[in-house]
This record gives sequence, structure tokens and C-alpha cells, in this order.
Amino acid sequence: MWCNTQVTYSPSPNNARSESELEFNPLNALNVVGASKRFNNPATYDFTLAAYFSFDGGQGWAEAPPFALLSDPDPNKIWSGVSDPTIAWDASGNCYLAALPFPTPSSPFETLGIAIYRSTDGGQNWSGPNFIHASTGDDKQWIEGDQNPGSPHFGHVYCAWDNGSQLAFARTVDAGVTWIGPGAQPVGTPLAFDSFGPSITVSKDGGVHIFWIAGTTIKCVRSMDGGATFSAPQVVVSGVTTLSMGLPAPGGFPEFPGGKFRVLTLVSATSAGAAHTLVVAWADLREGVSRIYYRRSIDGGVNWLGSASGDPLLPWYVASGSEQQDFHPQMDNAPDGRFACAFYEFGPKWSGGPPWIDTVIAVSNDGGATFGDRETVSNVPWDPAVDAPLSHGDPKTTFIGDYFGLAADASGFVPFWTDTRTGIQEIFCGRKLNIGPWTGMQFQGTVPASSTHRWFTWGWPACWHVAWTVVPTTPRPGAPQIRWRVEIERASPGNVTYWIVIDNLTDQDVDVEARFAIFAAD
Amino acid sequence: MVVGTQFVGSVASGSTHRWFTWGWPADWNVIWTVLSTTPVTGAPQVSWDVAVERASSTDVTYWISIQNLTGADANIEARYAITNL
Repeated sequence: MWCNTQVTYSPSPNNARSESELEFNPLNALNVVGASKRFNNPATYDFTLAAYFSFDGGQGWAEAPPFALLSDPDPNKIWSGVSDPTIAWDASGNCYLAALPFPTPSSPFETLGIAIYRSTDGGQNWSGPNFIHASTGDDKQWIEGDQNPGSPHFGHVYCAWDNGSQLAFARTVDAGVTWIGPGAQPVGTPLAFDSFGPSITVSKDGGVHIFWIAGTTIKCVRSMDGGATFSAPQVVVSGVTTLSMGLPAPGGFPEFPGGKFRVLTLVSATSAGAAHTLVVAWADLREGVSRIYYRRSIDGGVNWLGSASGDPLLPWYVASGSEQQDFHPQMDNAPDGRFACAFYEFGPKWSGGPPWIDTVIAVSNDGGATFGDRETVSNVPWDPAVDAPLSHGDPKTTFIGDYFGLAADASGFVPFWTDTRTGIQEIFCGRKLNIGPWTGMQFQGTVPASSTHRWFTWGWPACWHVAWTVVPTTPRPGAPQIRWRVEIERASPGNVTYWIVIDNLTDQDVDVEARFAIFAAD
Repeated sequence: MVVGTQFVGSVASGSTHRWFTWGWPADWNVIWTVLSTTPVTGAPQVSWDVAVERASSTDVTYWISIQNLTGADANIEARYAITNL
């Protein structure tokens, strides 16, 4: 059972949110920063990014001020917004958001380059954009920090993106003051020439591994010297059936049967362990329905295990039903070495029901060998048709994000996804609950004869499942003495206040005791 | 112990809405709680009552009545705890 916490409370359905990312502060486990698209007009695909921060481990959230945008002497290159959120931390507690500025719809360009925003206060405030690369071919950036204290490159931050089909690269080794390419080369120097949607992971030895889709293959380059030099591209998976290869694309983007939202095959990679285990996952259509496939290396990417075309992530005993489509895999690892893959499952949630989406997580407790520990994270499935923006304003295709977030701290994995249960596309996050019960007595008091008295008790985490009982402690046999009811106040996004209303049914004062039972807590 | 969320919904300001959920084995000890998911500070927002129907020899239906105590609509989440599983 997972607790679902609503991260965003949008004032209007126009402020739909999707395509999210999440990362924990490596210096403060209670500080976590997320980001997503935040729409202004879903009908015209008018949006920019918004960032969110929490200082209580994700129970309560606030939204940072809007990101600053840049003007430009060329009216076609004035920033209208920024897109494609991705987040990383360095070793000093600085948080980076790599963004993709784009111009107004009247411009002939769709994107303008790569911008880096930096926060030095845990995501509460963000610098102006550092426009590190200008190219109208830039897209689908990813950013990752070396958070391994044993690494010789601890604290470096790496960024990779598509510049057209080039795999472009940049890094900072001075906490974001300057950005450089590989060696002494400039930002954006290409590492390969067939890139689509790169994903970066940094292994414990400081190895930088960049994966991308190249046609029907997944390729990787590796740097063992902090991004100064990279290996030649290596094919790590061949025979991929991308979603673009088999799905109809009425508006240019693939769509599942029964769905109208766009989907893509993008890679997601992570690494963990002293053996530098790497895991890369993607959505694959080879079975006729979309399934998550993965491949693993246990020697830092030198050799890759299993089938050359990858293997199904989910073992047969936890596989999704034949009418379900699994997509948008997000890989991460926890400090204890466990791997996890969160993904969306699209399809009817009961016989004959409409196709909705559940957010699912599959955890590996054996170093990525198997992912048999499957759980549904979302407490209720969500309808992707609700409040869905039109992708690029095209009425044939809607938008729920091309990916979502997954992060981990010492207490476990935290998916960070889009959800429409409130009628608005909002961002939710999830934490696994521990099952109790834990019981106790919260307060004692006296209710005067034939009257009602109300107590409140505040600061209870909203994730906790709590039940209340009240008993009289003044003996009086022969008839009921009290009854009670519980009223609840959602005092903040992360906390509730319980109001215990106790009626004295007798003509004498009654002493009472209010007891709680916590059935589950995070 | 098994816990979960059975449904989410919205209760209009100042009104009571009743949901039912059926097919619960009668030998399960089930406790229902309700949470407001719309933050509003300063006063209680919702209260709830549970009524039970013995729908068959083996199953019960729970009827959850949720009262919105405020002047604004409130989103809610109904949770269960099965204490004998």
C-alpha cells in the first residue's frame, strides 16, 4: 500500500501539469525537488516549467517562483517558455534544472537551445537561465550529478541532449560556474550522430554512461575520466521494437489503441553497487502490446547479460494483463542497492471499464536480476483524457508527458507522476506505507453533564491511516455515557487536524480518554 | 492488517454525499476513515458515518455518508483497514 500525496493544487484546469522529474538532495534527505510542465492554455500547448520543493521528505510541497525567461534581438528567438524538465544535484547542495527554451508559436523554430537554472536554497528560488548552448535542433536533454563520494569526479554534473541527431554533451566541474564539453572542447560537442532521447547514469566509480535510442538499437558511450573523453558508441541492445514502429500516429506521435495521448520509446538508465551494475529499460512493442524491457551489465557496461534484444522486466507471474499497455519506464536505485522501475499501465481497470492509467513500481532486490516485487502505487487509476492538453495544439493528440519522475532516499522509492483524480492534471508523489498498528492514548478530559465538548489534535501526517475511539473512565453502570464522532480538517497539503467531538449522554460529568490506532504510516 | 483507499470523490459545500461499496466478506473486520484532500486551515471540513447492509449470507455492503461542514467543495478520500487479515 502506498500513500499518495498531492503535490500541486492548480487554481484552474488550464494549469495542467505533466512530464515530471524528481531528485533528492544528497546532503539533506528531507529536501527533495521536483519539476514539471505547467500549462497556461492546454488548447494551444502554451506552457512553461514549474519547480516544487519539500523540506519534509515529500509530505508537504510548495511551488517555486516562475523561471525567468530571456529576450533576444531576433523576435523569432524570444523565449516563450521552457520545456523538458530534468534535475540534478552536485556535491555542494546546489540543484540544477536543465531546460529547453522555446519561442512563440509564430516562430519558425520549435526549440532554441539548452538553459541551466541553479538553486542554492533547496529549490525555493532559482537563478536566471544560463543559456549554455544555442541551437534550434536541441531537444530531450538529461542531466545527472556524480553523487558518489568515492568517485574521483564527485560533484561533477553532466548534461546530454539531442542536437538534431547529434548526441550533444556538456559538464560542469565548478558547481555550475562554467560549462564545458568533453576535454577542452565547447559545450555541445557531439559524442555520436544517431541520438534520440539520451539518459545519463553515473556509477559509483565515477563512470559516466549515456544511453540513447538509435533506430532499433540502444547505444551507450562511457567516460571514466569525468567526461574528459568518451568511448566509441557501443550497441548494448539490438532488435528494439519502438512504439513509433507499430502504433498509429494520426497526429505524428504514436498513440495506443483506446488512447489519444502521445507515447514514445525513451530509455531510462540507472546504476548501483560496488560492481557498477547498470540497468537500462525502455517500452517495447514486440509482443503486440507495449511492455517494459531491460538489459543489465554487472561490470560497468563492459559486458551485457541476457538476450541481445533485452528481456521483459516483469516476470510472468507479475506481468500485466494482455489488454494493458506498460510504458514510460523510469529507473532508479536506492541507497541500499535496490533497483526499481516505475511505469504507467494503461488499460481497463475492471472488465469492460474505460482505459485508465495506474502508476506501478517493480522493485529488484537482487541487483537487477529480477523485478518480481510489483505494486500499484496509485491508490486510484486516473483517466488520461481528463484535462489533457493538446500536443502542440493538435486536436488529434493529447499530452500526459513523455516521462515522469522517480527518486529514492534511504526510506525507499518515490514516484512522482501526473494524475487526474481531482479533475485537473496534477502532480502526485507516492511513498510506501508501513503496516501497523501503533496504538496510544492522545488525551484525557472531562465532558460536563449533558453537554458536548470538542477537542482537536493537529500535525498528523495525512499519509497515516488513523482511527479514533473514546471511552469513559468514570464508572457508571446501566446506560451509555458518551458517544463521539470524528471531524477532519486538511490543515495543509501534508498534515491533518482531527477534531474529536464527544457528547455526554448523562446528567453527570464524565471523564474520557481518546485513543488512536495508526493502521499504516510512512 | 490490510489498508487501502477505496474511493476518492468530492462533496459539495454544506451537503452530504453517500457512497456504497459492495462485496466485502462479512467476516472481515473493516474500519472506515475519511480524509479531506483539499487543504483549508482553521476548522473541521468533513465528518462521516458508516452504515452496513448484510447483502447476503457472506457479503456486506458499506454505505459511507460524508458530510461537508464548510462553505466550499471538498475533495475526499475514503480509506479502509481490514484488521483481521
